[in-house]
Amino acid sequence: MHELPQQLANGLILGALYGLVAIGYTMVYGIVQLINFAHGEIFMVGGFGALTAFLALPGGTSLWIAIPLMLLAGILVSTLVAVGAERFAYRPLRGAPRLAPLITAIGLSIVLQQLVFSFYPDAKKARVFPKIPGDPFELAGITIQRSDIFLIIAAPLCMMILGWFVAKTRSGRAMQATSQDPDTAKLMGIDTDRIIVMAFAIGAAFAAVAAVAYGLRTGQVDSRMGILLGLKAFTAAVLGGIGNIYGAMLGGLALGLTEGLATGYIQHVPGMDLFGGAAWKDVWAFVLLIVVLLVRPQGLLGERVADRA
Amino acid sequence: MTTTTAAAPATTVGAPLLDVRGVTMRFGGLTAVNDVSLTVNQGEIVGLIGPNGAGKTTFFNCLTGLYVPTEGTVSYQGKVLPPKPHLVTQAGVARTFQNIRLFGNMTVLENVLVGRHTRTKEGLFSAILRGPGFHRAEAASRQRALELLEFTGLAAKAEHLARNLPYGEQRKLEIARALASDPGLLLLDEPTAGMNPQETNAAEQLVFAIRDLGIAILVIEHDMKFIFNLCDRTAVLVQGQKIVEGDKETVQNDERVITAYLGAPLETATSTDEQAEDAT
Repeated sequence: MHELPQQLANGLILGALYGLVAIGYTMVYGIVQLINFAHGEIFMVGGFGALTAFLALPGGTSLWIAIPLMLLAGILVSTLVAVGAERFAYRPLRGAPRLAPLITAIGLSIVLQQLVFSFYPDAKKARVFPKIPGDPFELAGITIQRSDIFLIIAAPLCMMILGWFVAKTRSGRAMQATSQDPDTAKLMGIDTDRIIVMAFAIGAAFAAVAAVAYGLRTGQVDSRMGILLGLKAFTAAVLGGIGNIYGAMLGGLALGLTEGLATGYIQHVPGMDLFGGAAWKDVWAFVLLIVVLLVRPQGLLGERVADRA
Repeated sequence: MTTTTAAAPATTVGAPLLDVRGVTMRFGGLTAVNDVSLTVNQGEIVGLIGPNGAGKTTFFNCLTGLYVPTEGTVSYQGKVLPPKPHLVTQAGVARTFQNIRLFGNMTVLENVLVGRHTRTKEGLFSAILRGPGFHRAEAASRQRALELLEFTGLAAKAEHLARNLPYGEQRKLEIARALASDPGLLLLDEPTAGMNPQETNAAEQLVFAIRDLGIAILVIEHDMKFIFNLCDRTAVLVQGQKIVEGDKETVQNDERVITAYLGAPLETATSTDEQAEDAT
C-alpha cells in the first residue's frame, strides 16, 4: 500500500486539470443555462495557440520565457474563439429552444477541429509540445514530473483569483446577480450581454491554462485532445454541481482521484480483477457520476434547482 | 456621479421628468396597454391604480425597457429612453417589483452594491491589477450602500443573506437597491402588497422621505387609502386604457372609476392581491 500517496497525488494533478476545464462549462451554464459542448475544442485551440507561439520562438529559448509567452498566446486564441463563438453562434440563438444552441455547440466543435487542420494539416497526429526538462523529483516519497509543476502552481492560483473576482469585485457581483436573475440584473443597470461575454472569456482563459498544462504534461497536443477531456470536464462540472465554480474544481479533483485510485486498486479487490487498470478508469469515473447523481442530483455543491429559480 | 444624491428642494413640483406618450403594448391579438400617456414632474408622487389585469405592470415593463412598446414613446428628461433595461437604469429610472426579486443568495449589502452598478466604473483589468482606483471606487460604493441601508433601516442586517430577511424588510431592501442607482425617478410596483397596517404606514413614511430627497415617484398600488394619502395625482387604468387622471376628489368621484374599479364605497374596497398580473 506504499503507493497510495503517489496514486492520490496523480489523481489530484489530473483532477486539477479537469477542474480548470470544468470552470468553463460551469460559468457559462451558470449565466445562460447553456451547455457549451464546444468547450473541449476551445481547450484544444488553446493548446495549438500555445504551440504556435512555441514554434515561432527561436530554438533554444529558455522555457522561463517560452512558457509565459505560450500561455499568453493560448489564452488569446481560446478567448478570441470563445468570444467569437458567443457573438456569432450563440447570441443569435438566445431565446431559441434549448436544443438549438446545443446542436450549434456540437457543430461548432466540428468546425473548430477542422479549422485546426488548415493551420496544422497533420494536427490529427500528436504535435510535439515542449516539456520542462529534468528528471522527476521526489517530495515526501511522491514522485512528481517536472512538467506538472506548472499545473500545481497554476490551478490553485487561478481558483484564488477567480474566487476573489466573483466575490469581491463589481463585475463579479454583477455576474452573480446575472446568474441568479438575469432580468432583474438588467434593471439594476447591468449589461448582461457583457457579463455573458465575460463568462465565456474567463472559461476560455482557464481552458487555455489547462491546455498548456496538458501539453507540458503529455509532451504533445492534437486536434482530438478536447473530445475526451471536454467530456470528463463536463462530468466534473455536473459532479460538483453545475453553476458553482468551487463545485467544478471539487468535481474535477473527485474525478481525478477516482480515476487514480481505480487504476491502482480495483484489480486488487477480490472478484474485480477484470475491471481494474488504466483501461477501466473512464468507466469508474462515470460510475462515480451516476452514484453522485443518484444520491445528490444537484451535484456535490449544487443548490436545489428550486432555490435557483 | 459617485456618492451624491441630488438634494433638490422638497415637495416643489417642477418640470416634467417622465413623459409617456401614447404607449400601446400588444401581445398578439391582446392589447394589454392601449394608448396611455402620462407625465411625472419633478418632486411629484404619482399613483397608478386599476383592477387586476388592467395592464399596470405591463405599463411599468414598457417604461423600464423590459418590453418594447408596440407604439408610443417614453422620454425621461426630454430624451427618449432606449428599450434596454440597463440603459434605462443608467438614465436614472429605477424600479422595484410586485413579486420581490432580490438576489437571494447574496447578502443585503451585496444586493445594494449590485444596484450601484451603473454609478461605478471598473474594468476587468483595473480589478485584476487592483490599482488604487479600484480600492477607492469599492470603498465609495460600500459607503454609499451603507448609507442607503441606514436610510431604509436595514443597516444592522447588512451581512444577512437577502432570502433570510422577513417579508417587509425584503421590500425595503428592494427600495434600497433601487435607490442605489441614484435615480431621478423611482417606480414602485405595489410596495405594500402583503403588508400589515403598521408596515404600510412605515412604507408610506419611507416614500415621503424618498420624495424629500428630490426623487419623483410613480407608484402602482391596490391600497386606496395608501395611494390617496400619498399621491399628488392618480391615474386610473382599466383594461389597458387610462380612463381618468387627477387628484383624490376627481378620481373618487368619477362615475367610470366607481363602476369599473371600485364597484362599492371606498371603505370596503381595499387591497386585494394582484397575482394574476404577474407578467414578467
